[in-house]
Amino acid sequence: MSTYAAGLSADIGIALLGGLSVYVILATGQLSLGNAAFMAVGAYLASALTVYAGLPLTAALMLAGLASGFLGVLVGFPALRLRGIYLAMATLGFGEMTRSFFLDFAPAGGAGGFRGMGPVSTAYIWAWSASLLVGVVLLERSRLWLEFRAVNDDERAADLIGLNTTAIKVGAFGLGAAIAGVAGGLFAYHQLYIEPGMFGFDRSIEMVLYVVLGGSTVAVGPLLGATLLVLLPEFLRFLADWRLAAFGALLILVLLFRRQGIIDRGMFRGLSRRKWATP
Amino acid sequence: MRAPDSVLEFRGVVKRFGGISALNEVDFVVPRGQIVGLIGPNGAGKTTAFNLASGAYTTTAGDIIFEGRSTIGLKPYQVARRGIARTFQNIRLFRSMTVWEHLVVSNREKSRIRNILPFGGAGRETCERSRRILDLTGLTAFHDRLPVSLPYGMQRKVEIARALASQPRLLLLDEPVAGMNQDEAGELLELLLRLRREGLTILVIEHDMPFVMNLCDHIYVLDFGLVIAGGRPEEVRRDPVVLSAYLGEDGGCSR
Repeated sequence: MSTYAAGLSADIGIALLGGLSVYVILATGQLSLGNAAFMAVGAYLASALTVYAGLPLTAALMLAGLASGFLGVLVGFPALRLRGIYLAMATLGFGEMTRSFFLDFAPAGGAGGFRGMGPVSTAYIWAWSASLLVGVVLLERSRLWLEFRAVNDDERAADLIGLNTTAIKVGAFGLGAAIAGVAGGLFAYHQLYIEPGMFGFDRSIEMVLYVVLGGSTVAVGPLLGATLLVLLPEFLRFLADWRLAAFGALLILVLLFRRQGIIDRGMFRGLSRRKWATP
Repeated sequence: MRAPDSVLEFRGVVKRFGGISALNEVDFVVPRGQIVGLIGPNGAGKTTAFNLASGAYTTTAGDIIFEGRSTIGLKPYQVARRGIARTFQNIRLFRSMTVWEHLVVSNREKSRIRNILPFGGAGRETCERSRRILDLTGLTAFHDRLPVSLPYGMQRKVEIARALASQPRLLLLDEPVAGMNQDEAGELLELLLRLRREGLTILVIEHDMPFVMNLCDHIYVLDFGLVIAGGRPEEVRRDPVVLSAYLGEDGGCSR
C-alpha cells in the first residue's frame, strides 16, 4: 500500500471512531456537537502518558478512553436537562471551552502544540477502529441497545416501563466520549503533532456528518459516512477550487433523498429478525 | 387500617397545579385481584390520578400506598419496577421497534451481563413469557411488525402487551377502548377478564359505559377532583349523585 493510501486508510479509521462516538450518543436521542473536545482530551492525555510517563501506547489509549469517558459522564449530567437544539448549543460551548483550555494550558504546549509522539502503523489504528466497530455492532444486538432506542423513541414511555433513563443517557454520553478519547489518542500518533486548533468546532461537525450521511440507525452507517467523507474530497481534486462546493452539493443531495442517511436499519431487519429468538 | 389485601390505596391525595386543584383529598382502594373503574367527566382528575400513581407527577399532599409501602418520592421507573405498569390515553409506542422488541425491552433483565450480550436479553424464560403475552393479546402473527404499520386497535394491544411484559401486579389502563371498534372492544374485555382470573389487579379509566359496567368489580366516580361515589357497577349506575353529575338522566346506558 502506498504511503498515500495508507494515510487515507488511517484517516478513515480515526474518522470512523469519531463517527461512532457521535452515533452512540445519538442513539439515545442526544446530539453532541462537542465530541472534538473528548478527542482533544484523549489526544493530549495519550500523548502525555507516553511521552512524559513512558507508558506503552495501548495502555495510554485505554487510560485516555477511560478519562474521556469519565468526562463524558460529567458532561452527560447537565445535558440531561437539555434537549434538541439547546443540547447541541451546550455541547458546542463545552467543545470551545475545552479547546481554549488547551490553548492556555502551558504544560500541554499551549498554542505551540505538543509533539514527541512516534509514528504508528495503519494496521495498529485499524485494529482499534475495527475492534470498537465490532464492539458497537454487537452492542446493537443487546437488550441494552433496545433501552437506548426506547429512550430515543419516547423517553417518558421508557421511564414508565421501568427504564432508568438518566443512567442510560449519561452512560451513552460516557461511552461515546470514551470512543472519542481513543480516536484522539490515535489521531495524535497519526499526526505526530497536535495543537488545540485541530479540535475545533469543525472537527465536531465532521463527526456528526459521518453519522448523518452514512446512517444514524446502524453502526455501519458511520463507517460508510467516514469512508465517503474522507475519500470524496480526494476524488474531487480534479475540480480544483470548486472541490468544496461540489462536496457540499453532494451532501445536500444525499440528505434530500435519504434523510435517515445512506444506510438505515430497515436494510438490516431481515438479518436481525430471527436472532431475538422470536416465535 | 384497611384490609391488607389492597394493592393500591390513595389516602387524602391532593394535587394542585398552581392555584388549580386537580385532585382534592382523594381516597380510594384497589383490592387485589379486582378490576376497578375510574370514571367521571373530562377534567375530573382521572388521568392526574394515574400520573400520580405511576410517579409521573408528585403529590401536593397525601399518600399513595402500593402493596403496603408508600410510593411518594419514587421516580416513575422505580414505581414501574415495584410492579405498576400503565398504558397511555394517547398511544405511546416505540416507533423504531417491532412488537417483539417492545416485549424484550419491557421485560426486566436482572443480569447486567446478559443485558449487554448480543441477543442476551431474550433468554428462554423471557421468550416463553413473551410468546404467551403475544398469544393472549392476539399479536403473535404481528410480532415482527412496526407499530406504525398496525391499525389503531392493534396498537393499543401492543401497549397492553408491553405493559404486561414488565410483569406488573397492578395494571393501569387509560381509556383502553377509545378508538376501538365493537369487535376489538369485545376482545379486549375478554382479555382483561382473563388477566383478572390469572390474578392481575387492574385500574381502568374509561368513558365507554357499557364496557365499564361489564368489566369492573368496583367503580369510583370522580368529579372536579373529588370522589363523589363508589360502589358496584349497578349501585353506581343508580346513584342519583352520579346521575346528575355525570351519566345524564338515563344513566348513560341507553345506547
